[in-house]
Amino acid sequence: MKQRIRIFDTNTYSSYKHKIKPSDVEISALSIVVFYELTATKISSKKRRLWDGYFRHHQTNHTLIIPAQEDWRICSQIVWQLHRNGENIPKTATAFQNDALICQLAISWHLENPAERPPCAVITENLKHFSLIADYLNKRLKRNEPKLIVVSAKDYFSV
Amino acid sequence: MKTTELKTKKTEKTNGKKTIPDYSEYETADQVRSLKNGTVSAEAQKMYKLLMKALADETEN
Repeated sequence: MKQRIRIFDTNTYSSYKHKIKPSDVEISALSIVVFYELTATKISSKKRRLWDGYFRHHQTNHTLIIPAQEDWRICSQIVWQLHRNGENIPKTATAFQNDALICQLAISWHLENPAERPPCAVITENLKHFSLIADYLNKRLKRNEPKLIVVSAKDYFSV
Repeated sequence: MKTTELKTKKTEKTNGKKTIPDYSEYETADQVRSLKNGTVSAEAQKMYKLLMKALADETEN
């Protein structure tokens, strides 16, 4: 059984920090959106250096996930579509827009290079929003492309 | 003419499918929750320590 690459949502890092294991880090990728949410805030210089170091490691390992032009467009279209379809989502919340980008990046990272990059699974506390976004994004995929999987952080770390 | 075109397209599609990876061998949502990875590289250990320090609570001076 081949393992999916784990993408931990921002809240998962802070809420489940005591449950994250080295093996989780080994099979994870860092979404630039998550990094931004974690670090573009009031943190000490020491923490800043630590986060930058963590960023560099993922950069070197080619597990830092950054958006391409098309990712922004697809994401904007999906969030627009969710609003248009009357889904129960925050009207202007940046966090929700970021969640959509995290999902899109998890999909496009694999599709850019399927031979070398496994499909992803997003681990999050916010199952409701992420599942909704993933449903919309997965509908865009071709039949032979792997669907994005969203897993509850509570379930993931309780095993 | 139309029949020929359709047949050609169908063949191309079938040929294309042969090169597509079999994603059924990857974890499903349930398996993501349950599978544990036993061995960890030195690089992952290093990253883990860095991450834990970055996530640790601290009192700023």
